[in-house]
Amino acid sequence: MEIALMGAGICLFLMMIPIMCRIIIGPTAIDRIVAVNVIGTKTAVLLIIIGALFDNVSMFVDFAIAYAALNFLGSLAASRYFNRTRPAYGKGSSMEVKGS
Amino acid sequence: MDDILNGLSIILIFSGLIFFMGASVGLMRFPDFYTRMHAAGKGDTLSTILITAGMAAQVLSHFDLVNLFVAIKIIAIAVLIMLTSPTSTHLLMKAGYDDGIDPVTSSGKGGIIDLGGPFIKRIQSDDGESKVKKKSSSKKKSATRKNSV
Amino acid sequence: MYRTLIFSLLLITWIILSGFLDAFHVGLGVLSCFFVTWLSSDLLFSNRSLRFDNRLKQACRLPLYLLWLLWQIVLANIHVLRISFSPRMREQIQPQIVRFRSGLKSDFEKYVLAQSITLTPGTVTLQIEGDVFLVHAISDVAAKGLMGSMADRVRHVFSTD
Repeated sequence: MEIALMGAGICLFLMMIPIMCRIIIGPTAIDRIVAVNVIGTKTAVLLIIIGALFDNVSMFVDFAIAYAALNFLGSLAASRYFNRTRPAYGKGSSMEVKGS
Repeated sequence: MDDILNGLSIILIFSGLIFFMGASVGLMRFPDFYTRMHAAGKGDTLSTILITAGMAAQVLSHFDLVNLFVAIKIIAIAVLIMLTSPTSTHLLMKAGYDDGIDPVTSSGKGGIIDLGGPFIKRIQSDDGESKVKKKSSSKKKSATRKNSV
Repeated sequence: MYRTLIFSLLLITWIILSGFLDAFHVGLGVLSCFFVTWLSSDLLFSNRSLRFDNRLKQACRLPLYLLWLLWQIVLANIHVLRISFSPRMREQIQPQIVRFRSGLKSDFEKYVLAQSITLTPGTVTLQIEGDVFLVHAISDVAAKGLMGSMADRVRHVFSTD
């Protein structure tokens, strides 16, 4: 069981590497924020797995809850920031048909 | 009983890893920002739910009161992420759309296609003239756009 | 009535998150839940004119909807998996932005519909204005499937009769 959990944790970490590449090469800033958001969610999951490996899930699960909530707040704040700064460039409501 | 729960947890965790692999490869390969959001939003949610469910089964295999609370907390994480992940996807996508990132579309550059709606007739009869006019004009637009395809 | 409901919901959350069942911790929980309920109980349950048995019916119909939604999430993930591993991806996707009217009234219904659209295969909600939904769809099939039964399902879950 320990080996399976260890393997799952390592697989989870290895699959974060393409997402980290997306953080580095992402053409726009929001691409990077999305990738950070995905990595944050997976870190919350990884914390539970680490807790199970250390035989101390009851402590690590609190960290995971806090991490997930803070991750959501972080992506929310970032998207708010982008929403607020850009309309100064004179694009009207985003509901308007683009290119017409 | 313990063996059943352990086996179930391993199956759940590894199916979650497979779906997460789909999400990460999709995040790498999809052509533009909006389609990448599809991979991120969906793959993230299901893989998190599956892995946390697997961990909850794993914790419950040594059953006592403390472990029961821990399992409920782990399920609470899954519910939290199931509620918040689509919201953050939606908000980031809206931010990108307001930011002016052009979507790669198959029908011309950045056009919106009007589907109308299942209740459009009822809404028209409720709201009177103005909405009807607005709707017909936008329908014309979408018709021309579809012709240009 | 609603205050009692909110108080018990908060207390259940407290007990789950704290994990202790002795008198001191539960007493602290009762005290703080009472304080929060007294201070800000009008944040939850915006429509107070509803009868209570209607709420009960809605609460019974919601889990069935959530089960259906879970199945849709599995389908959506298989869809994403298949597209992202296919070698000729660009021919399989026809990304497009569509817009439609849902005819839903309350904010919570719109929220549930937006979450469901995001979690079902091939579509992500971009924006809601009034009851006009702006949706990014990844293929023609997904965009057509958008007009299916989902808004009806949400309306059925939150119907007040």
